[in-house]
Amino acid sequence: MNVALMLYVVSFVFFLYATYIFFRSSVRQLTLFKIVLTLTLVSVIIKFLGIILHDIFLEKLFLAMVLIGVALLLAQLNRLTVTSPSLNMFVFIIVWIGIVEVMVLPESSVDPVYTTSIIRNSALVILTMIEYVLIRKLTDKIEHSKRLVGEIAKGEKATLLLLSAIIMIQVVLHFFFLLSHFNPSLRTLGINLNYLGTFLGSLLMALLAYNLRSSNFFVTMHLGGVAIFVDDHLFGQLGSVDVGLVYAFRSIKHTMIKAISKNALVFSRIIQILGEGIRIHLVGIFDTYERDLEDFASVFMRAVSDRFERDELLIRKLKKPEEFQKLIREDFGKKLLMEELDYAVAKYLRLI
Amino acid sequence: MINETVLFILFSTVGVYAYKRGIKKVWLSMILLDLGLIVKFVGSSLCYSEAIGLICAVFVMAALEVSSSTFLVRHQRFYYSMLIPSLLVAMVEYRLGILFVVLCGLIYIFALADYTRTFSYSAYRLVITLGLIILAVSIATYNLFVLGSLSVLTIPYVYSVRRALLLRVVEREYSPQDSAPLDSISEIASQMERVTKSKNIYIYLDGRNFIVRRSKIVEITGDSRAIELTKLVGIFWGHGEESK
Repeated sequence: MNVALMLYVVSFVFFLYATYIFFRSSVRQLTLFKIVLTLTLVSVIIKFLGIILHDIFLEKLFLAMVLIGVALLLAQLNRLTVTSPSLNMFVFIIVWIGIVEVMVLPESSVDPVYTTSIIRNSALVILTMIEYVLIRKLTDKIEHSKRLVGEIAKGEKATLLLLSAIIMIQVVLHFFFLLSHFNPSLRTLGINLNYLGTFLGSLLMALLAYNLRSSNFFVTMHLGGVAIFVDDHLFGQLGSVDVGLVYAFRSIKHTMIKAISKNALVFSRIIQILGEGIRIHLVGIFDTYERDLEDFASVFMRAVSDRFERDELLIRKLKKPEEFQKLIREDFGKKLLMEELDYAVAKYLRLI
Repeated sequence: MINETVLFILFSTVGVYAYKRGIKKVWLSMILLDLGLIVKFVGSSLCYSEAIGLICAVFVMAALEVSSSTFLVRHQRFYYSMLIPSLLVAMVEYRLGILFVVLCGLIYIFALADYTRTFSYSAYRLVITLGLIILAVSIATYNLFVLGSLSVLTIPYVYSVRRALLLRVVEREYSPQDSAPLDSISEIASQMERVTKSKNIYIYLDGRNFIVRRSKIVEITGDSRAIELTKLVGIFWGHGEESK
C-alpha cells in the first residue's frame, strides 16, 4: 500500500509538472495536450471520490473519461503526425462503443477500486497500439527534420524512444487487464499493476512536456523544403521543393504569396533590392497546414528579406557573375538559409 | 397541460425562426422537442423516457453542430454513428442520457478549445455552458419547464453565431471581366492540386484572399478567411487578419 501511495504521489507530481509546462505553452498545435491533462486530473479526482463515496456512477464516469482522455491524446499525436480525420473518427467510434459498454455495465460488475470489461479494455489495447505507432511516426518526423536542418531541430530522440518503450509497456498492461477480466486469480496483481499504469501515464505526459519544453520540433519537423533563387538561378536549397510549384510561383508578379491546402502550406516571397536590379525569390513548403506554421513562415520570410536588404557586401557579390558562381560552389545559399532558419526559429519561440 | 402548451408554442416559434434562417439542426431539434412533448402528453409515464431520449438526441445534434467544424470530428457519418444509437439508448435509460449530455459537453469544450479570437465566442461559450448545466439538471429532475428556458437560450445561438458564420461571409464569384489575377491563381491552384492531391486550395496574394474550390475561384474577405480555412484544412483556429 505504501508503494501504491508513493506511486500516486509521484504520478501527481509528474502530472503537475506536465500541466505547468503545457499550460505555459501558447503553441496552438498542442492545445489538445492541455485538455488531456485537465481531463486526467478531473478523472483522478472523480476516481478518488468514487472510492471514498462508494459511488458506482462516479466510477463509471472515471472509466469513460479515461477512454476520452486516451482518444484525445491520440487526436493530438495524430495532429502532429499523420493528420488523418479518418483515424480520429475510428478512434472516437471505438471510444463511443467503450463508453456505452461502461454505462450499461451492471452495478455488480463495477468496483471503484478495479473494474475490467471486455469492450473497454479491448478498446484500450487497440488505442495504446495506435498511440505507439503515432509516437514512432513522431520520432521519425523529428529525425527527418534533423537530417534536413541539423541541430536547429531540437527533438530529444532519447526521450522519444523512452516514450515508445513506455507505451509498449502500457499495451502489455492493458492486455493483462483484459486477461484479468477472464481470470479472477489475476485480479490482485491487476490492482497492483493499475498503480503502475497510472504512474506510466503520468511519466508519459511528463516526458512529453519535458521534450516540448525547449523544443521547436513543432515548427521544424513539418518543413519539407525551402529554396532561394537569384535572378532565376538556384542559389541555395534545403530539403526538396517541387519544381512545378517553384515555376508557378516564380511566374507571378505578386511579391507575397501563400497557398494552403489540406496537407501543404507553400509560401513564396519576391525580394526586390532597390536600385540593384536583383530579383531574389524565396519559396518553401511545409507538409501540413497549421496556424503556427503560417506565422513561422511569415517570420522566416521577413528574416531572409532583411538579410538581403542589409547585407550590401552579399548583394555586390551576387551582381558579379564570377563571385556569384563562387558563392554557389561554396554552398553559401544553403548556409544562409540555415542561419536565417535558426534565427527565425529563435525569434518565433520568443514571440509565442 | 398549460405548461406543455406554452413549451410547445415556444419550441415551435424557435423552430420556425431557425427554419427561416436555414439552420437545419436547430429546427430539427425543435421538432424533436415538440415530439417529446406530444409523447409526454399523450403517453403514459412509461413514455417519459422516450421524451427524454428525444431531448438527448437534440443535444447530441447541437454539440455536433459545433464540433463539425473542428479537427476532431468532421464527418457526416460520425453524426449518425453517435446520434442514432444514443437516441435509442437514451430512450431506455435516462442516466445514460445524462452521460451523453456530459459527453456532448466535452465535445463542445474540445471544439471550442481551437476557437480563437475571431468572433466574440466567450458569450457564446457561456450560453452553451449554461445550457449544458440546465439541460443536465432538467433531465435529472424531469423538469420540462427548465427545458423551456434552454430553448430560449438557443435564440442567441441562432441569432449571433450563425449570423457570424454565414451573414458576415462576403463571397463573390469572379468573372473574366474582374480585376482578380485569375491566371496566376489558376496556375498556382493547378500546381498545388497536382502536388497535394487536394481540390480545395486557399491562396493569399499580396493582401487578397482567394479560395479555389474545384476550379471555381472565389475571393474571400475579412473573418470569412478563418471559416474557409476551417472547411479547407479542418482545424478551426480563427483570426483572419494577422498574416496580412
